[in-house]
Amino acid sequence: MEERQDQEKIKLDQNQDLYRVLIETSRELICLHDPEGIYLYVNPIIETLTGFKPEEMLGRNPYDFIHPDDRDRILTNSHNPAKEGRPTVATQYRFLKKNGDYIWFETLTQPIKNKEGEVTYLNTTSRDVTDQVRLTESLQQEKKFSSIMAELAKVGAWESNIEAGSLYWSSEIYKILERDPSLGIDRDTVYNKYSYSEDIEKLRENNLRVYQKGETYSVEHRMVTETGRVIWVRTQGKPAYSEGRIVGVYGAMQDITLSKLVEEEIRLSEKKFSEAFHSSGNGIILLDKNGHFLELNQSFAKMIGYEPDELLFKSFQDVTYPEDLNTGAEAFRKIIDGERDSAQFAKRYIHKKGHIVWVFITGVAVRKDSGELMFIVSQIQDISRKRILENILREKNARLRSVGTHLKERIAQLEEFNQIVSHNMRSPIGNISTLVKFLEEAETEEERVEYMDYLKTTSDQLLTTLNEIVEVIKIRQSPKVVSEEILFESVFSRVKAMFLGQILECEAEIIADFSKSPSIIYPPVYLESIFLNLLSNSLKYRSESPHPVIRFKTYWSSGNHILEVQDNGLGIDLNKHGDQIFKLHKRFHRNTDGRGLGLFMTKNQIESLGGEIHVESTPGQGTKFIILLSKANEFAI
Amino acid sequence: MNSLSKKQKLLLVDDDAIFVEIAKRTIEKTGAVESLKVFPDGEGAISFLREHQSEPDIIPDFIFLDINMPFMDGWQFLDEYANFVNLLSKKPEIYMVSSSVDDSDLRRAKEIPLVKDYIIKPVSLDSFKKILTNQV
Repeated sequence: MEERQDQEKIKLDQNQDLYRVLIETSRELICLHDPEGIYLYVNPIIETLTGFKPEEMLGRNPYDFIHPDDRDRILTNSHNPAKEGRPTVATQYRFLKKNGDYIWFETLTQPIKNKEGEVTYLNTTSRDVTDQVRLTESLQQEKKFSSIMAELAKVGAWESNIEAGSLYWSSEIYKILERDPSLGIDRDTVYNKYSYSEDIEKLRENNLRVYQKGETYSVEHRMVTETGRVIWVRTQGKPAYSEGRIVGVYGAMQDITLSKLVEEEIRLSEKKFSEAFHSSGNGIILLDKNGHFLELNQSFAKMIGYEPDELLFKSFQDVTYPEDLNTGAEAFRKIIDGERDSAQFAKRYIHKKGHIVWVFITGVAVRKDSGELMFIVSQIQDISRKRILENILREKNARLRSVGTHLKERIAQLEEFNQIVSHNMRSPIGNISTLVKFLEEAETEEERVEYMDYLKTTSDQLLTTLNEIVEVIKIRQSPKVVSEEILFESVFSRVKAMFLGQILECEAEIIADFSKSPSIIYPPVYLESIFLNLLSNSLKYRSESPHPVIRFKTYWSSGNHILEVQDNGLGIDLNKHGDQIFKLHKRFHRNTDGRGLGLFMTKNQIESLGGEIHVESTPGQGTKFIILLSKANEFAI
Repeated sequence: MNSLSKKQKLLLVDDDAIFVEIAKRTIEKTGAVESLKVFPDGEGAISFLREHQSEPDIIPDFIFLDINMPFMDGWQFLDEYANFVNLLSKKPEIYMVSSSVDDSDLRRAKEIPLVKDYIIKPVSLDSFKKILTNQV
């Protein structure tokens, strides 16, 4: 009996050792608690799982470690039932680790009762289910997202088992085609009810190819929804295999109606733009921010004589008239810098053939929403013709003005002649008629002789005046006397030689400087006459002191070829005589032998060639004649 | 007017020597002239008048003034004359005597109050008579 007892004891001890080993090496957390949950025993795996040593746990309350959000669940599902000896369920909850993280445990709690059936201990076994919980969480997340994505993208999945003739639609496809999901779906319904008749064949072919050749497809086609709306979808199909054989097709279907509409709209607006761009009579160009042509239309290319392709390799600077490079540059820079969005200006291009093309440009910036410049659209209008017309108009106006001036000159000449006839011719004629009467009435031979003398003098005078006038009329009427290139110096030295005696006699100093403009195309006879009259004039009206100095010079000023003659002679009071200085038979000094003819002739010669003569003078200080011999022709090209 | 018996003093300003000769003879024939002074240009005549401005016995009764003359023409004479006419002890009647039939000359003469009339050359004996006897 004792032996038996001993044997049983040994057996028991052996069993207890076995259990201890099993418990202490278990991968599961095994704990013994009092009924309130206080740790009485914790197996060593606790340290691997939570970082706490078993002895650190003893005497502590598990609720100190359980995540506050999970405490109620533990209490309801595990602790309370176990305390009362009722069955419990495995419960998942978060348990605090020594490092502050949480570990997910799945714990089963079991009551341990005494003979009287009272719960004396609680036994818990816990597994680390952290990975599993995380996986489940992320799976749920993924599922949630994919359903949101499917909904947002309007993408649904489908599968068709060809052998079984069955069809599966995901909920999103029901939504896309507005079909009640509870009705289910079959292939006949798809083809008869929801397929757009014109696109059915395309779908059948694709599905057949998948089935026969295993080719995947992606096709855009129309469908008709439950409510009769025609929508655009993209359907993708792939072969479904079973034991190496193709048994069906599965894939996705996306509602692309909206993007199709947008696409269509873009296509339409692009078409409109393209039509406007290419068929516009105006030149249109798209420039990048470096001024390179991105695109340009035929009208623009034609405007400057190129093929569109030739210009795509150039920048607008390459075809701009060099002087106008700055014209648009400032506006262009402002557009690039975002200071302004448009600019308008006129400038010149160089045609491929070399001539100038005047254009009017309207440039507008096209920017992204971010403000970044995408390109500049410029409309280019050929205004060459307008410019030419403007130039013609300007020229005509100038000519008209010139004719007006000429006409005024002519009127002034006519008045001048009228004056000459009135004063210089009527006067001797009046004398003659009176003298003839006197002669008739003369009583003595003495008287008769006297009147005859007067008559002779008067008629001579009249003849002289008449000859002078004829001379002037000749000048006026034949302004096209032969011109040739002549050196001022050569004409001047000839004239000076004629006055040599007089010059020596009065010790006149003659200074001539023709260096700034040595020659002119002019009638030599006129130039000689002008020099002769002006030199003679200056010598004649010299002052006795200081000794006479007469300067001749030529130069260009404001497009006029000018001869200037200045003396330090007697001068003329221009306030008194200003308007008479160039008139016939005027003299402004006593005791001189002038007949008042030289300056009159000179003026007529100069004016007959389109020139002008002006005088500046101060009595006692001298006279300066400024002669505009010729003008630069404003119409010369 | 008691002018027939009165002998007039005349000033002739003209550079045309022949006309001056003819005028002298014609004026002589009117028998109404006491003295005749001639200047070939305006400047001489002005100097003469200024010099004798306060001597009514020397200031002429009539001035016959040519337009077209060297140095100082008839118009310039009138401009100068207007400057001192108020200082003259006697105011002569001024006639422009010119060969010009130019309208602009006639109009210009009419616009000058100092000018009594404009006589076109040649001047007949009758014309001189009428003027000198104030029968104009």
